[in-house]
Amino acid sequence: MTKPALQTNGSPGTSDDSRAGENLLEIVKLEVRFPDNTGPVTVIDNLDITIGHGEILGLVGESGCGKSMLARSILGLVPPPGKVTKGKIVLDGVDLLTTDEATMQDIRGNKVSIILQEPMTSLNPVFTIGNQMAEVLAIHCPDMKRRERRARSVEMMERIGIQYPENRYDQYPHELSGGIRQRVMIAIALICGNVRLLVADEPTTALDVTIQAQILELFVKLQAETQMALLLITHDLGVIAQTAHRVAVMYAGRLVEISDVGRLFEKPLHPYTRGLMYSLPRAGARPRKSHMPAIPGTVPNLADLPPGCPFYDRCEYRQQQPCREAMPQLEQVDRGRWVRCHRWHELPQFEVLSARLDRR
Amino acid sequence: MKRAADAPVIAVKNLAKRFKLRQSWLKRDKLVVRAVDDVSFEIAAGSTMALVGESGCGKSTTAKLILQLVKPDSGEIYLNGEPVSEATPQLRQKVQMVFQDPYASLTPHFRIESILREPLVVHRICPPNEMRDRIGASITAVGLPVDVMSRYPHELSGGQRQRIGIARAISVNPELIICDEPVSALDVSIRSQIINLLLDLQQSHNLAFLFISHDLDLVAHVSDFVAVMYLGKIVEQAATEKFFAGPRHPYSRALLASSLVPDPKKRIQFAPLSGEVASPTELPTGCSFRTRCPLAIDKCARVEPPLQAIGEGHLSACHRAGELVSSEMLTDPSAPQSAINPQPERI
Repeated sequence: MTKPALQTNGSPGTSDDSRAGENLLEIVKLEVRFPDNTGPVTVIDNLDITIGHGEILGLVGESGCGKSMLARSILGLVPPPGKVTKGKIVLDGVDLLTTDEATMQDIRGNKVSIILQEPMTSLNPVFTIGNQMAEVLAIHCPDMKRRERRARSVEMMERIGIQYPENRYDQYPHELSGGIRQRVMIAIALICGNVRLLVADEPTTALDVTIQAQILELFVKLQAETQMALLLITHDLGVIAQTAHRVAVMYAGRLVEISDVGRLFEKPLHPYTRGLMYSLPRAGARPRKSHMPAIPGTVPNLADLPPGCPFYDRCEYRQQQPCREAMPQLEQVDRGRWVRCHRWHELPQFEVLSARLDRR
Repeated sequence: MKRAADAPVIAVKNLAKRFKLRQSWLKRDKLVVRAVDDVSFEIAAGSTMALVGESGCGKSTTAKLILQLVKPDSGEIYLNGEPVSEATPQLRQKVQMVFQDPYASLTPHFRIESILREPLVVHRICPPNEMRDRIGASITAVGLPVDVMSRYPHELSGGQRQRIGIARAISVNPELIICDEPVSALDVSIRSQIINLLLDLQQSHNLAFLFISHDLDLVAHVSDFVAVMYLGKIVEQAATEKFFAGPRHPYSRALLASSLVPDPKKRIQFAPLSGEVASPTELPTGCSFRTRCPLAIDKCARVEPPLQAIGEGHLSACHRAGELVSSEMLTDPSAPQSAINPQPERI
């Protein structure tokens, strides 16, 4: 790929170099709010991000930082009383926020699908697996005959790597293991066949490590086969490092860093990202049972954000001026790299983790 | 502290527990789950043993057996050299537990003060007039301000709650703390805070830890010994350095290979293991891991490999442990190798 010159006029989060028309999903100035006793709480604030065709975008952040809410807004599933109050979510030229519910239902499960964290709770325990798969087809392809739906479901299960799909079709969720349940969820999400964007919200968090590896491998395989885009939401930097093309880091409802995966792990810019990377336990990186670097404090309450940078209280590089005074803006520092920090260029060199490994 | 000289804080010998599942009342024969089988280990004061394995492998049952919450079928448990056969108040005091989910392990309608007062009352740790000071001291010891005493659990964050769970465990002067996935429910940025706290407390109180976890990177950092469990049995046991320098059981190797390295330049070769854990009610003959093992041979189906020494202080239950020296045998060499995502960057 040729390297075009640094563009400074692209919108934040544009994949690579903001080649117009190549983005599958464009989220522009999204704001999601929840009413609260004291006034509205902004859960997502002025968020811009794009996802290119066939791209795996990893979204990292702590619980309550708004990453799941972002996933839900894309599907138009923000739970009331929460509401998307501003912004645009454009998928293939269609603004998902202004379309009517009927069109949205047509898009959901057809062009955009979601996979949730807990395969236990997202399958209905009183219906068979087959029943729940065929339901998607019954809604999106009403002309399909029952037998065709069954055939399609079985075929899908086979593609997803479920053994004995004919038998599984008539089983109930409780008869299946966690890994197979998650595979069924993926099958349900993709059964319509032309999904362009799959949103996976912590898809492997509830699974064992060996199964997690299998499911991630499946995601990557499906993504390569169908060239769909994948929004992979997780708090596990290992998952991100192993699968994503590009990464967006969220903190307190805002994007704080966007980068391709290689440069993010090599040289994270935002103090929060750096803190996360340092605090990962890594075999041999430091003497056993020694103190691990930690990010002090806890996530601020979104209803009561301090002035200035929301990471101020936990930041090791903070300065009264300008960090306490003004909210930093998401600024472009390089092609495809964005960071929300006043002082990113003054921070000391990031010690590459693998270099520490060699120095054991 | 009264302790038989040199006796480890906890010693477990040939511990076994089978659960009988009731099927239909019409069926006579019951399904039997081998939850824990022939598990032996000891933990000395000030040291940590990590118990690693997938869900359902018997890690938590082992913890419950030690706490006498579940009666073992056979095997012995020694606390400071004294045999334990029932849940005595002494056992309850000396062995404490820190739970995985800090949202579920604190009673929601008690204030923090009441939550921390209860163990002090039960174990008669101090006279009533000193209790408040004592509660305050344990709150300070876990790095929280004393005024959380008057709060309810829901007012605290996950990390703060886990600190209260730890304060509750250490307040009765325990000798062994069973940490059942103590940080897996917490955010990444909070995890190291809690780990550092546990390490500090271990050092200052000379505590023994049984650390149950599935995060091998974390285990490598906090533990002194590692035991890997698979379907109720320990399949490999070694000192941490030795274990991570060269695991000698194909399952341990697969676990290590499955852990996701947070480095996009080191995308792992996939997939280390196919299939899922065999059903604990229908164990395969011979070695229970052979159905997923890339190295299985005929012998594995016939003879169950015993847990035996393969090096100094290094135990492995594999017929082919002797061959498992080079790391090339991690995966089946005949299987096609593909990276999980071979295109790491798009620059």
